[in-house]
Amino acid sequence: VTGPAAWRERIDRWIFESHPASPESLAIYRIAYAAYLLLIGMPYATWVSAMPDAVWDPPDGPLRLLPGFPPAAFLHGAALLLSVSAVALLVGWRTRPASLATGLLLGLVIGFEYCFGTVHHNRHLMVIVPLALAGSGWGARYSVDAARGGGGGAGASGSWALSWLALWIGLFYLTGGAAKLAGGWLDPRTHATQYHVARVGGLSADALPGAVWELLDWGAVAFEAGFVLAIASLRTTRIACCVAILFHVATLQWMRIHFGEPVIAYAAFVAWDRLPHAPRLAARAGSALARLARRPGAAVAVAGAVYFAMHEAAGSPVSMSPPWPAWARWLYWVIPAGVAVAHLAGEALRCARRLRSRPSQASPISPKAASAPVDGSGTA
Amino acid sequence: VIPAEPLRSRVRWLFLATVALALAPCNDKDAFPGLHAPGFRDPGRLEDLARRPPARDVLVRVRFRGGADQVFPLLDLLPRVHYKQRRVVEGALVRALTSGRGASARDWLRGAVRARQPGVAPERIEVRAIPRSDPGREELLYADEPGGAA
Repeated sequence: VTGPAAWRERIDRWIFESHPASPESLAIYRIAYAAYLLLIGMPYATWVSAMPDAVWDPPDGPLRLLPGFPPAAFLHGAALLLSVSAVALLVGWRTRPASLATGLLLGLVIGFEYCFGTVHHNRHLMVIVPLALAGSGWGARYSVDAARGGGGGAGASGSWALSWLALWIGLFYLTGGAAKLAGGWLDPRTHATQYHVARVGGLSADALPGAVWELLDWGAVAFEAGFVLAIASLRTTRIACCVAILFHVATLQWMRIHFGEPVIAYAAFVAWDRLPHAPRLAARAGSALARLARRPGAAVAVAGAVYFAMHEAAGSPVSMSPPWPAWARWLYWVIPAGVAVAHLAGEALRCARRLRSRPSQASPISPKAASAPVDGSGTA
Repeated sequence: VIPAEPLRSRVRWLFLATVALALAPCNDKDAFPGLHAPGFRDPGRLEDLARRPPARDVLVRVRFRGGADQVFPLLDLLPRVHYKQRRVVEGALVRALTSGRGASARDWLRGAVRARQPGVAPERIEVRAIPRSDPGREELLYADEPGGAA
């Protein structure tokens, strides 16, 4: 059946059933995301109010409606609210509005940093994550909301939030691949990767044969344009995220581009509840949060204000500012790269096993093999 | 579980709107959420590498009243800017100063210089580019005399 109704049903299945996640897994991810934001990723954008309007050059979007940089009081207010909402997200207090506020304020504050004529794309997914997962129910466990008997944003929405996040990431890469295609990246007379690598001294221009450089050009475009196809299921999304992590490690090594924040978005697809000790630690944190449940609003507001004051004075606790020593940059990548390699190796083994067992599936001697259930969730 | 209508339709529209937003024609290289690295659309010709302006450092040379010249990087005058944006902001400032329409950039530079030595008025401020490949070849990009005519 290939009619419109069948297509609609297929699309609905993808939207609502392709990326399942348990409330426990989403809740642990919520804590991890908010902790990363507070410890490392919190933008410090109040400085832009000190910049002259002569350099005001916002990208296409709502900020173009403004005549220039906003006053310091506005940015301080936005940063204070962002600090409070990030703390609320961490502890899972009024999780759904806290998620929306975190995403919108993060987008606003980061947006002002990109009003100088150039946009760095590495932090966009940090903005998308809380917006996409606001309705996922990621506050339903290990949270103040759970302790107070609330759903923490859980509703009848099911798993579509993770599918939505996967779509965002797929489109994020697709637009990158499209820009490369439109920009002549695959022009056979030139090697774009060679140019970019040689420009920053990652490798000398003649380190590889021309055919290999060209292959790298095609590989980059195929990966970026093809990511959107890989979001067909949770399993393929995880594989694509693992490849993306290795892609980022390669760009760090040879193009000197530290592209760290998207890894936090990929982590949404990890089965956090299957990690050893993670649910136990999160449950312990959740019971500690339950003590907050008497007056959570006041506690969150005070903690957010204290964090804001500290951040204004001294920056993020783990500063992203240079100079990061090389070992620290690599440390950032050790865990994601290790997980990616292990997961891809596991998938390769599973594939090899399946290929080996294929003749027996076809054999009438083992009919059970042919009807063996397919685990669509993959491994963490 | 696939939810009932109207939630199902609303979510479908949300997904469709997401695709439309990402693929909108206005989503050029400088718009959300594409990839926007500088020079991204460059076809990657190696010969372009030679034609590009060489990497340079931008220095500010200031003559304070009654004192000797002081030189410091323009980057040092910037507030706490995200490390990935420092060169971008530096380039935007240089463009504004050299464009002739950057009165606010001039005022900003004067203020930033005064903050280096409070109470001592700067007589002349110069912004100079030093190519890394040839540090001996300084290029005057911009000059300002806060006390008189530039």
